[in-house]
Amino acid sequence: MNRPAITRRKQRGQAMLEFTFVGIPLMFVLISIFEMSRGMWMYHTMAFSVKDGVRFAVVHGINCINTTGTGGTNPNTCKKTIADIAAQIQGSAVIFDPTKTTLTFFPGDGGAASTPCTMVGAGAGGCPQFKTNAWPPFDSTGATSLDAVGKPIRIDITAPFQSALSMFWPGSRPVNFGTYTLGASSTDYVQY
Amino acid sequence: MIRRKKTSGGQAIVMVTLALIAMCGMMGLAVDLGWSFFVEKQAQAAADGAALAAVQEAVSRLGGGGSAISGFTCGSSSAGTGASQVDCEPANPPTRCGSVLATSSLHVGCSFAKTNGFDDSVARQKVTMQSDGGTNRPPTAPGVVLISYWVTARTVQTIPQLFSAVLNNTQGTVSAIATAGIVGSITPGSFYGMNHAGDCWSLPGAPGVNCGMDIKNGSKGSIGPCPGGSGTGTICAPAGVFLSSTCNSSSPTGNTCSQPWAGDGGSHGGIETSSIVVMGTGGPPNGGAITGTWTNASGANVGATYSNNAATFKDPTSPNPQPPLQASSPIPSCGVLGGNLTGTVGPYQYYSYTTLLGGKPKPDGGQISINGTTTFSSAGGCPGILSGGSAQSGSFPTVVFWGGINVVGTMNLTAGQYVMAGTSVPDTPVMTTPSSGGTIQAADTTATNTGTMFVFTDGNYPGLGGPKVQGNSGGTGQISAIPNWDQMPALYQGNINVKNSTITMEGLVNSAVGGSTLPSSMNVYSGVVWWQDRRNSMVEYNENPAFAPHCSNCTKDDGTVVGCADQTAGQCTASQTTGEIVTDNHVTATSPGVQLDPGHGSINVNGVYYQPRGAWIQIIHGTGFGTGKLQTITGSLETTSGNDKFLLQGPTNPLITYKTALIQ
Repeated sequence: MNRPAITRRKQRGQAMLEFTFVGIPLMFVLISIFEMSRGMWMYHTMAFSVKDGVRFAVVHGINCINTTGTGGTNPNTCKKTIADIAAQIQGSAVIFDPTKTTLTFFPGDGGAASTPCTMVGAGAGGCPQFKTNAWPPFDSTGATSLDAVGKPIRIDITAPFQSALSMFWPGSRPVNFGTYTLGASSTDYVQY
Repeated sequence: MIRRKKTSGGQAIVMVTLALIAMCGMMGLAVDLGWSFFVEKQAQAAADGAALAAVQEAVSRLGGGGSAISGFTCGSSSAGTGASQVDCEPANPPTRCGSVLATSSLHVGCSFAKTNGFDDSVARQKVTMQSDGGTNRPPTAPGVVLISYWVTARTVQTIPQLFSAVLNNTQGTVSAIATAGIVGSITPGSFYGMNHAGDCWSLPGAPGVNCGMDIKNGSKGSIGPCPGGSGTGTICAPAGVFLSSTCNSSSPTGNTCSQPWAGDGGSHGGIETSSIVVMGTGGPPNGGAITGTWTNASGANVGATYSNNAATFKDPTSPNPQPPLQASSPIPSCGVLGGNLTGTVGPYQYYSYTTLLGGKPKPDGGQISINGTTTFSSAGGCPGILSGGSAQSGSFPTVVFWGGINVVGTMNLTAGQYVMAGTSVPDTPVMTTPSSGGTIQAADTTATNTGTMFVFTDGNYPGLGGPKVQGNSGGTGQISAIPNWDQMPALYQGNINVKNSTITMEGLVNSAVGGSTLPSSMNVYSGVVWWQDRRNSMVEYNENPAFAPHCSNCTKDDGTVVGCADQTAGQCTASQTTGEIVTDNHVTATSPGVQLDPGHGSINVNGVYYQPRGAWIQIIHGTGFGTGKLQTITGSLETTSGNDKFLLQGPTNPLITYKTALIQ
């Protein structure tokens, strides 16, 4: 009749032992799932937003340059600036701190990259300061202009990702939320 | 002990449950969001494809190119679902694909969406199409003004959530939107040399002259940088040069390549350009060679880049036909005694006569001489015998000169299309000025705001009808408004020689530009100031540069096949015989050539000078080139002597053609 009591007594401490064996890795797995999910979420959002931004840029190429009034005959006024594209990207990347999210614009055909800028604010480096920088750049040379139809363009985005994952890394101090930089990039060809 | 155990047991369940909910939420972020981004990508691809396909279908229903696509409006006659009609559905909310009729042009877009996985008849998906044209701009891209038709496709899909459902988020919606249109696209580049190896400055069969040559700069002077640059150049081609010849030192000589290069920048100043694109798979011997001096705006040497992409060297105006005459029914004819024209004159068909036949003038095909001050105006009259036809009322009339013109005095132009319809004496100019020089100028604001267009052709340009001796059996076309039209002698393609003259003209300005009254049907020729008949060429007109002309590519401007008398196995011979070219197109030994020699005159022409492949232009540098900039599309260009600069156009006033493109 008292066998269970004996057994219980014998097993005293076992739960704690099991918890030590299973619980710590379990927490590691749990937090890892959390953090990896969060990281994936950020990466997906980032990749999506930059893809959206590139698509926005490629449909506003050389044919959008308004040249009427300067002896030219193109009345289109659809050219976009770096600030416009940054706003478009920000619209699909609301989860990021816009003051810490950096965008870099590359005319993909050997042109110099734009100054990296953050989506808003953060001093002089913010994209809104580039309200007059038409992008992709129009360099008045027609066929070789970096916004000519068929030219590749690329936008890179980076944002900081603060993760609890690193606290499990060997050598880390117990509570160390490491900051990593997540990045994504998208390339497409000017359509119009 | 027992109490504690009970508590901790319940705690685990609560903790696990809470953790599970949060975990599922996080998993949801990663998995469900990732999935929705993936679906969004597909939705965007489907929307892009649907919009482009619907617009492409519209283009083909409108005839594939030309005036119909740039002049499209959603009128009651053109908007519809007939086999050649284009569907306009501007309603908001947009029309669902389920309601688009199977005969509609938009239906093609819907089926593309379906092929890409978006089907309006599936419950969790929705595909809508919206379209309009004419002056109604797309709401999604209001800044695009050079547009004649647009389609906006929207794709929506509801996706059930897997992990996020735990947080009461059972459904997610992804959507994508794309707008495509028939839009005006600028043509890059300053200069197109379309002559291939084997295309010469002489009739086939005769000894080859300048065969396979695209550009040769023989200017002598070196007088500082081109405008806006700091390099040197006597030909200024800021927006780039395209050379279609593959001639190099390994090429066969004679009638294939007269010179071992495709382009020669010359030794005095050279050619200033931003890029040189030459046909071939690489440098010589796999592609055309360039020689001489080529520099960019900062004075550094520029090398050739090579492309064997046929589309790069295609006639930039293809697949558009030749610019149509603006008056479809015959316009009044004005017979001018001895061909002498002066005063304020109206938009008529001018022809020369010296004698009467049956009491009416007998056209002699002589050149019309522009004397004194001759001003063209819709208010003008006919200083001769006016007969037949119906008066033109539009702001862009057609004026025809049977026999060509000789500008002795001053020719004041108003907006319109001026057709030099052939010369009765082979190998003479269809437009000329005497050595003392003449003046051709845009005389009023319409001529600068809307532009003027010269068409250099023979008597058989589409719509003219042509002289009876050259096959116009029924007295049809414009010529039927001329009394005794059947007496009109044969009219040939002529060359152009405007030595010492002063010419001030602007090319056609797109009707979307403020102040322009150009008919929207002419928008597809935006920029053109001088147009040389495509048939006036040493090769049968062939828009595919990659091959020797095939019959199917060997087309006359009305689309019919020419030059197939000696066809073998469905192909024209690689080079046509003199007889074929002369018979088909009334070309003479020198007619495809143009001589621009400002001498002590001044040439200020802004716009696009179009000549077909197989034609050529010779610039004799006087001192009279002003600031006019020509985007030159031709077979071959040569400059000789002189030390002025020949300015080619940068990207500000280029040829605008209408194409299908994604715009939003």
